Amino acid sequence: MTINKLVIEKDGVNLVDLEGAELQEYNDRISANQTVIQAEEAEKTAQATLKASAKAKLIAGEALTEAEANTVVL
Amino acid sequence: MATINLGAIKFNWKGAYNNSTAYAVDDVVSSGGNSYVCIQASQGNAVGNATAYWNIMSAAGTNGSNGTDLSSTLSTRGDLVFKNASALARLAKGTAGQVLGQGANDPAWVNGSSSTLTTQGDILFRDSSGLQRLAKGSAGQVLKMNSAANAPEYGTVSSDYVKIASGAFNDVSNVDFAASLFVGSTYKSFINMIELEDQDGGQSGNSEFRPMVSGSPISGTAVSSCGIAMNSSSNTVSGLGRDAADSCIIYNDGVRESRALLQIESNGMNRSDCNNNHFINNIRPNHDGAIRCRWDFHAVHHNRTASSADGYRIQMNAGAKGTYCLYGRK
Repeated sequence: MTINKLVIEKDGVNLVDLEGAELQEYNDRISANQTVIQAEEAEKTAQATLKASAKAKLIAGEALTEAEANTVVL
Repeated sequence: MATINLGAIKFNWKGAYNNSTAYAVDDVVSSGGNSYVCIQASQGNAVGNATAYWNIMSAAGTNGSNGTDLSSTLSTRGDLVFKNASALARLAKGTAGQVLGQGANDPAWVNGSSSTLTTQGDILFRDSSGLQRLAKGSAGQVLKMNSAANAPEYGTVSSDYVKIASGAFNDVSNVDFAASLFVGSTYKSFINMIELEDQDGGQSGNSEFRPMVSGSPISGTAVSSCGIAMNSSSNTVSGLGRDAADSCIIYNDGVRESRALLQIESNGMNRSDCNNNHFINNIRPNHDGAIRCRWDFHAVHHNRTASSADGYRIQMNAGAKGTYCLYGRK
């Protein structure tokens, strides 16, 4: 699929294919953003896991780790 | 039997005066348009008024004194005659297509609609002297009165809320809204309403809102953003934060195949007295056909330089399509 950009100016519109450094920059950002998003998703999953563990330990009367405690203490 | 000479009991018409004819009393002749009656018989005495032989019987009138000589007044084929304040006057023929109109006092030729209207879309109006053509306007223009309030003209509707650009795109990766769109000296803020759809129906990928300066996305740490996201399947609010960056990541779960509504409101664009702030608000239906949606709200700040030429880019996965409509608010 062509990687391009649509440039909208006041007096017209121009569709330009990305090439060279600009194309590389686009691909790098898409990839980097994916990494950021994956890290965010992993963090959300980890927090959810810690919260569930904290809840289970509180019910069982067991001691929480600091990380677990952070999920229930403001 | 005695006879009495009563003389002529009626005038005797003799036709044109002839110097060789002997005339008797009561003979009548014509000469120079006049009629003369013989009062003393003679021959060879020329006619005249109150002579010994002739009296004028009827004088010729002045040639055309009551009606003017129309042959000299009407000089040109097509001329008309009318009465002005003092006398008969000539109305020179009009030009092709003109019609006869009535002025305050006198008639005059005026342009008829068939000659005044030359182009499809023209309309007819009257100015101080007669019918005039108003050439058709261009697409989208409206008819309004001019500043002197004495004639119509085509123009745009003055508004504090003006559409600057609109259009559609298909199979693109980036959409750049260039600095030329954001005239800071005219508009305080801008609202850009965009529909976005991933062409291949995929969910993966991400999108960025990237401030641009002089035609290129910025690099560095001048952008900070925060936001919240919610899904209709949950009441969980997810916080979104990105500080000291060069963009704001939007659509972090993809643009998706159902059309999303993306609204970007911006201020400070190309103004020297304000940094750039953007509200980015979007909603998109779930990609899998379920009745579900996701809503994101982002607040983006670009600590711009005073001399920058501001625009922004919506960077997406390849193959996005949609529409845009950008408005400026004065």
